[in-house]
Amino acid sequence: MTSSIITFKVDKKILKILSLNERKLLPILLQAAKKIDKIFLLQENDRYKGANFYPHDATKEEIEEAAKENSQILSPFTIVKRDTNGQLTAVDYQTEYAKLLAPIAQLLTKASEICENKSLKEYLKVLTKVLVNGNCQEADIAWLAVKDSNLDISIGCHERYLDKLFFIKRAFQANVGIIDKSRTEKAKAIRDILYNTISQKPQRFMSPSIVGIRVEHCLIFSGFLGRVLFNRQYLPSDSEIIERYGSVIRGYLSPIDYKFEKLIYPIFNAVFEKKFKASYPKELLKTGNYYYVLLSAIAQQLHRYRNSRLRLKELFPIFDEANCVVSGIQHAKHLILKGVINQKELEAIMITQICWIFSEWVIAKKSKIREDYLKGDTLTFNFLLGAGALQEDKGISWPNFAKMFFEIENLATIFTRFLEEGTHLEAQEFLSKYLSFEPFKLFDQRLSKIKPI
Amino acid sequence: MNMAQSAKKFILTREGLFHLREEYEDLVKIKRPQVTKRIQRASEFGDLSENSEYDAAKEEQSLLEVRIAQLEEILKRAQIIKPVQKTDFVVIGSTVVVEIDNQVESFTIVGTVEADPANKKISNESPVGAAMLGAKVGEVVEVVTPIVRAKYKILEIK
Repeated sequence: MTSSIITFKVDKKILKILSLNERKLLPILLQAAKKIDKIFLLQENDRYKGANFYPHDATKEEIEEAAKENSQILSPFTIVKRDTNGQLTAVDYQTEYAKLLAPIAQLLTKASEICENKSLKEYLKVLTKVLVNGNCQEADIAWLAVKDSNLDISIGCHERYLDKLFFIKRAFQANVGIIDKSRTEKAKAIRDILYNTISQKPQRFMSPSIVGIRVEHCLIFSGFLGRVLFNRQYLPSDSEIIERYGSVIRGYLSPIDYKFEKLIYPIFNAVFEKKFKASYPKELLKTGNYYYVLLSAIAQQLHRYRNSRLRLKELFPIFDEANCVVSGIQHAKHLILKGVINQKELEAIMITQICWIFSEWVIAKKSKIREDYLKGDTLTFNFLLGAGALQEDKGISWPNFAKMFFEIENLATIFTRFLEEGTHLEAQEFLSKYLSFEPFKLFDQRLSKIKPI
Repeated sequence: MNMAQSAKKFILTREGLFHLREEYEDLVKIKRPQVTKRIQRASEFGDLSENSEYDAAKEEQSLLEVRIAQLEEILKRAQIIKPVQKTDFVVIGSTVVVEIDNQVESFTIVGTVEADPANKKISNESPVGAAMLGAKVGEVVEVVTPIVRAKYKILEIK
């Protein structure tokens, strides 16, 4: 497997935001983040549903059976192995990766010693300890408490997408970024409008405080985050911590812009008709793309429901991702009605949505790591095509915005219900009806020049 | 600026006008001299083409001057509205409680300059603001844009 480290160029003006102390910390944190790559590569394995978290010859049933005797087998932070008798055993991450974690802990100790921001210093200290003792929740709580820092760093195990067998095991990741205060404030204003408008539902679980937002320029992604290049992320990922301590949405500006340039805009040029394209300048689409990401991130937090992971099991990430996109666009209705965005911007959001759907199809040809996203987007794509909201003619897409918005509202109601109270069987039935990759093939020729990133 | 814009009045509450005047005074008397000093200091560092401190200060100055010009225009054309007494129908300044998609929310209709949707202040020129003006309690107001449609039932006018 190739390295998962992605570094981003950041304008000098942005680096100037950092205080002298933050500038001293930065190289140490970047070094620590880079070192996560080696651990992630030990976890990653595209050929097996359970990646390298479980023995490759172990069946799902065997693992479930063993977990009845030893709950650690299905802990999010263990590797499952066979002992000399062929029995399944669990080894916790900090033991399994001790040699690789030790130099990271050393760097973090060095960083915490020179850090002048009290809350960041505390996080770095806790993180050092956690890498050795494995109590990730403690690190999450300390990370949530970091304030008045221009630097944002996190190292840990959060996302479960690598474990396609059970959607339980967490993959290592790291990132370092610089918070953009102005865009963070604007994003918070959008969040506040949506939270004021969309009322509480009994099944929804909420943080003790409104979800936080940090919009940042990224310097480095490593581990899972580097591999998938997320535009946004929601931390912590543990519902128990979220309910007690709150949570934060992170908007990652660098991958948002990078993917817009390399993927979304080229797809726009490939699948839309010339005259249609002329009405949407690049800058407008870039704005639409940013809103698309932001609205999805906020919608994902507005639509967290109790037990949805337990009910929907391995189908949860598919419906969760699909819902955050359509519900995000549905909620944009309130922004347009209240004069926060205009008609053209809403159209740009919907155009970028179509481009993102195609992008998952393009990426899937290179890697399966975003398979759940592709499946979620495919449900939406087929639903819109079936309803006539999107039409295809010789590989060119024609959106009917009014119809598309109407169908997106319908779809948001369906997906939200699945998350709120739907059963695994119902979700499976919906999947059987709408999960076909055939329609993408009509666009294959036009998409052939787009390189997956 | 075209004829329509040049004749445009900016609707403001007395409180809103006060805040804008405060902001204007602050920008002109404090921030403007500060930025000018920063530019002078930065230009003493030498080669302006490689001087990021100078670039940053110049950019700040340009944003500041745009805002000052905006405020001057608004203050010149400000039209003050009187504090709203309880009325039977929605006017600028009314706080309305509405029902939309089975959810209840409330907001105040204000002039564009004071609009702050995150704090429930909606512009009279936004689709919702414009559609609400003149509506009475119990009335269902339909707001239609080329893509989005919504029905607001007015529950209360404060």
